[in-house]
Amino acid sequence: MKHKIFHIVTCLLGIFLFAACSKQDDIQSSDEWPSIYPDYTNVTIPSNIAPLNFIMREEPEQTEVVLKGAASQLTSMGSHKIQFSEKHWKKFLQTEQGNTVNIQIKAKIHGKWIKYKSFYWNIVEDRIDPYLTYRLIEPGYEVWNKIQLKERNIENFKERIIADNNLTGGTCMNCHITGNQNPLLSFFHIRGENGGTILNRNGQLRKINTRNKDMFASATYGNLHPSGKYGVFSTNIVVPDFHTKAGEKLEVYDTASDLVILDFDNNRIIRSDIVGGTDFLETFPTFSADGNSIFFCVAPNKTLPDSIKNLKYSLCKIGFDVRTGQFGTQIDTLIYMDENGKSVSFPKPSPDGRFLLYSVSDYGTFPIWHRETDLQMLNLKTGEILDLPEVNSNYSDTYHSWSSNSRWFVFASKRDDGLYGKPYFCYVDRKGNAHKPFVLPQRDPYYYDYLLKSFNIPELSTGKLPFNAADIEKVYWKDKIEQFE
Amino acid sequence: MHFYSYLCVKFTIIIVLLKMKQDTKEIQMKALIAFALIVGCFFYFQCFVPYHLYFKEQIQLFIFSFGYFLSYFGKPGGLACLSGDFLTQFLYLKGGGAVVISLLLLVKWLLVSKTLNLLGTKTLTPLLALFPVIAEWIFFSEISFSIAMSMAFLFPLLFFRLYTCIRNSVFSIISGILLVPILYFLAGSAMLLFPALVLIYDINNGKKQLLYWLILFVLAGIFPYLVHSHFLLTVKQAYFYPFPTIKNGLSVFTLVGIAFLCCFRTIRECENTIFSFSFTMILALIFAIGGLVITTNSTREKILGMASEAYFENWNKVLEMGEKTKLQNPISTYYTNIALSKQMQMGDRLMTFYQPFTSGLFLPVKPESSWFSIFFSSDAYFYTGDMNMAQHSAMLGMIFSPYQRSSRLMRRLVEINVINDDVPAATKYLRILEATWFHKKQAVRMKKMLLAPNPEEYPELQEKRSRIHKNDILRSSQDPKASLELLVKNNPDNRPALDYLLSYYLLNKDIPHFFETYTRYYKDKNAFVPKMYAEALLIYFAATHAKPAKITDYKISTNLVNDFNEYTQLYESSQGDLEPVRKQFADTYWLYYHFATLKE
Repeated sequence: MKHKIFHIVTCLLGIFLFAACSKQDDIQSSDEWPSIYPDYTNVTIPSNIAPLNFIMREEPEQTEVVLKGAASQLTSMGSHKIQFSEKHWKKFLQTEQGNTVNIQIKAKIHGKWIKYKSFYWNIVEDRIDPYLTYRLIEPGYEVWNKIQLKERNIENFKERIIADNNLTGGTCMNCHITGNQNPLLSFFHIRGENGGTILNRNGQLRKINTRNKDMFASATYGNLHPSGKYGVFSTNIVVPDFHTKAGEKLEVYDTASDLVILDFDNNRIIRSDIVGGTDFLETFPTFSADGNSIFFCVAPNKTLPDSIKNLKYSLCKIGFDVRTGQFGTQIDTLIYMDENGKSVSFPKPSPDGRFLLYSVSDYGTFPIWHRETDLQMLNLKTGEILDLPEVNSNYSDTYHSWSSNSRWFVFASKRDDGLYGKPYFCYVDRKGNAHKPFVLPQRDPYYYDYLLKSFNIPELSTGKLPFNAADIEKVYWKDKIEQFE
Repeated sequence: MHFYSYLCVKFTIIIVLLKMKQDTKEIQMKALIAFALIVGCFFYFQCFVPYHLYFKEQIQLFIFSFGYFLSYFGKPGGLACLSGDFLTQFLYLKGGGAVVISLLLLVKWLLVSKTLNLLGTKTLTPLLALFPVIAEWIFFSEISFSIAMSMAFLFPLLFFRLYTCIRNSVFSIISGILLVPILYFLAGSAMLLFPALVLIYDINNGKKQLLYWLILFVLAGIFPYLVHSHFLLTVKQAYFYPFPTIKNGLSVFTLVGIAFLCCFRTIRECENTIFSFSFTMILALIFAIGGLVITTNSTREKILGMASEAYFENWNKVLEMGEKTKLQNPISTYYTNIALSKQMQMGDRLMTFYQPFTSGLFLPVKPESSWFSIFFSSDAYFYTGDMNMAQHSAMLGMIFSPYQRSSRLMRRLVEINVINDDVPAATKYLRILEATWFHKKQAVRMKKMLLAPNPEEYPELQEKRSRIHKNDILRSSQDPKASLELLVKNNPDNRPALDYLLSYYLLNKDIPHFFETYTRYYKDKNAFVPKMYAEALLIYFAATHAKPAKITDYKISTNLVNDFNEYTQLYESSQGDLEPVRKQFADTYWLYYHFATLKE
């Protein structure tokens, strides 16, 4: 009986496929690329990425996708949703790494078959770090209700929640930052009564009060030293205001900001007048790849919000003594921005110390709501600034972080709708050329269409984080906070 | 409406016919109860709380997408929530809510009747089954009570019915144990009903399975605890989900209570006499009427009525309701003010409605504001042309609403971005609306507007586009005045913003700024002086000792000047006493100016 049913189903399927395929004789060729979402046309991808599933916006009745590589071929059929088999995809990428794959799409629209202009995927051997963490939050400007920090394995579609504010009394949670893409070194802040900075060091979780009596605010933006012994943070008094003009939205600015070092071994906060005081606003500090200096952004203090459009941050560098944990005594300006220039934010050095990636916007210190925000890359060896036209879009491109091999970086881009940030991956080849980026693939390619949350601060890491939401719940409610002095 | 009534009656008849095999007297009683239940429910939901039902749909959004369906299973009670939200979308239709909920309660009554029969009750079963149904009915008028919760209750009853069909005792025990986690995944904490039903069923059937009962109860008791981390719920949430509070589970407790009473033979086998029937019926009626009186919030129904009619853009109806209900509530004032602005009557009739200073013009969006108030806060910004604040408020309204999604606010976000001519942002929200059943039509209409090669074909859209901010300033989210001033400065023909700005000054008793704005933007453009504005101008002229020529220049009628003189004399002679002044000069700005004070 079972065999009979199987034969009937197979025959029916065969008849159906035959009927479907038979009409491909009168196929029309198109000079245009198919309208696919996400835009995966002519992109460079790593050999360890999850299947690049996509949808055909024309909503054809049938679609045939053929991936033709140098040594193998992969075919996928569907209607308007193309989802590759994970097993076949993985095998195909392994076989074709280092090659350029041609993608040919044929679609049946209103009964007629169309053959679109083919496009390519460069499958490079340089692998990307397999784990990505991000904060999912509604772009409700300065407020929150439900916040989750998530970790996604980008080699497949597995995702897990590493912190959920439903378990921590609905408090605000800031984004998760990894130190040198190391899953055993990371931190994030939880606000609220039982909150603090959660430090993950070798899998051990600590809850730290990063504000002492001499500071006007807790630690805000920061980064961890490669040794794991120190963290460098800015402390900011943050003010949100609203633009009136459509297109512009929120403006968040600091009325005061300084830099501090947190010494995790000795529970102390190290300050210096050179990166403190009220004359200048210092923010977005990050350690250099070798850990011997700190990059940060600085702007002269202004009357805000009146002079907000003249608030331009320059990119600077200061030495760091790993032995004593002290700031250096001299500040070098790497990129100077006067009142006619742009404003620099979020400097991130590549792990090989070759490049520094940062955002530029017209003014201020909150690029995510600045439509004009673009990424730029500074060659730290030559001082050359790269504008990255292949990478940037008409909307905000920022919140970037590197892969451990310095060949890939991820950033949040609002290029699709101007409102919701999504993680895009970009390849930087050995010559330092950045390639067209592609968005994080999803099992259901309609996922982004119906998602009403933004991906904040996507960060790559080489492995899985050693904690989960239940651990964070425990730390939040039960662990004692460590006061740094 | 008649069509729905016809459907309800027909449905009842079909059910009754299906039961024809049973004895006639019982059928008659069941038919009578079923008919009374469905008519009573329909009448209540359609006549007493229709706007609550509309609102339940407005704070939901059901998208036809596989990924969206799957997202329901990230929490316990996935199937109950999915099916409940599916049904909720029908609440958008006129009368749809009353039909859906009435039918749902009827189905539930049938299932409860069957369950009680299985537990051994005899002739009074149809009446006893009414109690859990009523316990649910009375909560449907609460905003926090969703159809999903009602659906959650159905699953244990259905599974219990299937469970009792199993004759093999070993298979029955295995099934019972397996059903506990399955039910939790499908129906959430309503699963706790299942072991209670099994226990009573076994007792009534003379089965003694102590170990099995123990396993069942321990498993049901600890299972939510064991999986709370998996579902990212607190322990308390895990034992209640999807019910927000314990009282919303009253239906479950009522059924368990009745089921336990059925352990007593006298109750279980009570004869259906006139006395027993009447007594139970009266009890049910008291429970229903008392419960409905306690839970029905008629003030909220009126507020939701105005908010919903504003959503459907029935501005006459909003004003009609405002006049009829005379509510002293910021949200009702907020909607009557928008309606007045839409009808260009703000300057004339603002004082005919309760005005709690400026909080009836814009609803505050603050950490201490209720989600209910934030939900509606985008409307005033939208109509005056402040699209950024409208978008901000709409997003916050959605974020803080119970399900973090809303069909009403999604439509608003589309409208905002169509007006802003922001094609990518509008397309984002249009795609979501296109994936719904009942908002698809609106999405198609808005999309056509958005992509129109000649936007001039849509004069209303052009007018709205002309009102939005062209210049940029930074302002706090709590400062609507700064935005209104800029809107009027950018486009003095933006009549809603001008009326709102003038009203803002007047409600703040800021007469000099009112006068300045009126003179600059209103005076020479309008032949007619609205009553409230004229009254305020007279206050200004009196305070500045203006010459009579000035009054003529501002085209204030002689009658009004005479009234003002009379008012002034009366005010001075009354020595601050409100009553004599109110009698003669109710609904005047003068009265507001002299007597309105901020309540703490």
